[in-house]
Amino acid sequence: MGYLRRHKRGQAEAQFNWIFVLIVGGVIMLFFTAIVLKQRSTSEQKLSATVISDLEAIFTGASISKGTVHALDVPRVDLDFDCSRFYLGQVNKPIGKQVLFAPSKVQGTNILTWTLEWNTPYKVNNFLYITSEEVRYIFIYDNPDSDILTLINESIPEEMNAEFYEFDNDMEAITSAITDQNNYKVRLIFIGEFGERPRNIELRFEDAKYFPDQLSDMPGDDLTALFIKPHSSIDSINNLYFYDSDGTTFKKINDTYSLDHISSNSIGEAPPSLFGAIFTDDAHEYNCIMKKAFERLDWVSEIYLDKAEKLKSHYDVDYPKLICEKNVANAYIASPGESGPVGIEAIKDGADTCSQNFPEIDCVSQIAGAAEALETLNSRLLLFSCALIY
Amino acid sequence: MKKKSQIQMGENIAIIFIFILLVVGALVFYSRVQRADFEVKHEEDQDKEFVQISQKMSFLPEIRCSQENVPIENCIDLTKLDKFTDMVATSQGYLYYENDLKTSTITLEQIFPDTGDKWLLYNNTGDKSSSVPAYIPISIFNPKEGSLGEYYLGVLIVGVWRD
Repeated sequence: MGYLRRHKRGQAEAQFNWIFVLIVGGVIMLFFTAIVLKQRSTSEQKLSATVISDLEAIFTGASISKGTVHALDVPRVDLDFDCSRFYLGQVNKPIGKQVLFAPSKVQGTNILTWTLEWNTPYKVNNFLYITSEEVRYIFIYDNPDSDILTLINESIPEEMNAEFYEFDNDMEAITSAITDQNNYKVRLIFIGEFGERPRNIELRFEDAKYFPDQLSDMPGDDLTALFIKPHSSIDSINNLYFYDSDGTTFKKINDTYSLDHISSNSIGEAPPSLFGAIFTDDAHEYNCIMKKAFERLDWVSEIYLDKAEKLKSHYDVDYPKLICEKNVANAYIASPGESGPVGIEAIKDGADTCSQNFPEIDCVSQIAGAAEALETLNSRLLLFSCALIY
Repeated sequence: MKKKSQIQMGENIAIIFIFILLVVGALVFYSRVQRADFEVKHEEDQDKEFVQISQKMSFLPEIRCSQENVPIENCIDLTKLDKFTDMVATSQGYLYYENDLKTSTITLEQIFPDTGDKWLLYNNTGDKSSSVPAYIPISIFNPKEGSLGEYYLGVLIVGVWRD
């Protein structure tokens, strides 16, 4: 009887021992699993933070050297861009006041950066463009002699994955020839009028013949189109229409403008804000980025307005020279009989409005007109050996 | 039997105790290594930030000289400086440039001819305690001197505040 009781107790103690080992073992395993998972997520975030910080430094370096193209070989990244930030996984960095045009998603191992200077007519900012070699740009045009096409064709970086198709009265022949090359984003850019029907030019591109059927499986915001309405000659302002795909046709999302001052000294130079619309696949993002550009124009114009006032006072009091004083004054003071601001004042006023209300055509036209007038005045200052405004 | 089990249980607890001690020791060691790594990384980031701020400041169109809209390298236009400093001194201006110039103090000093002129272009110390200034030689252009202006020699002092 006594032996049996001892034997039973021994069994219970052995069982308790095993349960104890099991519980402690489980707790230890859980502890290490939690550490491994936490460490994995921390390492991923640390790596993302390092890559994003390196990219930020690269973008800053690229943004200050105008006209340069950099092809960056990087480990496969998946970057997201919007007007104010760029993201890598859960880590993001503010873009701040930098004017940066990019597709909503930049993927791949080859990232391209390109920088152009935006002048209206004085230098306002460098525009930075970012894209991937895996994004495909398809330009379709109806007039090979079009000025805007020539500008785009001559200035577009060689490293960009771009194709050009000439329209020969058969749009279906072009769109059916566009095959799926496994790009994660495809952007069609139409330059021209492509016939006369329907009369509403922006609705023309909603016709099924403008849609590349072989790419119909791509999500709506990965297959996008831009229509650049041509002018008879190079103009500072271009009408732009943004389209998304619905799987069978393009649907117009928004219309907006580009503003690139065409200087007599810079004919043939790439139009920065027009390229902004080519790189950005979302009209709202494009408008938001352009608002930042106009905000900068507002700040820079305030400084030039003050500089012009100082120069006028200099030629009036310290170093009397009537011809210089008159021309500097014309750069910012409304001439007798003229209503509303002219010159720098008009640019500042337009920039202030556009920084809030873009795409409003009135402020865009006001800036374009005033920039042209100011350029003439600045050239006249040079002619009379006066200090230049810019 | 009872004693044997008690001894076995005591052994188990002692092993767990030693194991926990080893794990805690390893975690403390690992966190110290991580902290040292983090500090090195933080310093690297601050160095990068310094380079970025210096680059942005030297190429700022608001103060940079230009001739027929062609920017002049390493040159600051004196007639643009006063307005720029006034603008940055406003809360709106401070907020506008804060993202680009971060926690830094940027001053411009004219060194030849030595007039003692000094301009505070931007100042945001944040809650940081020290800064290592870097001196960038720069020319200062005064378009109001004579008919076509005059150049002076200056130095741009960029100090990025660190923890």
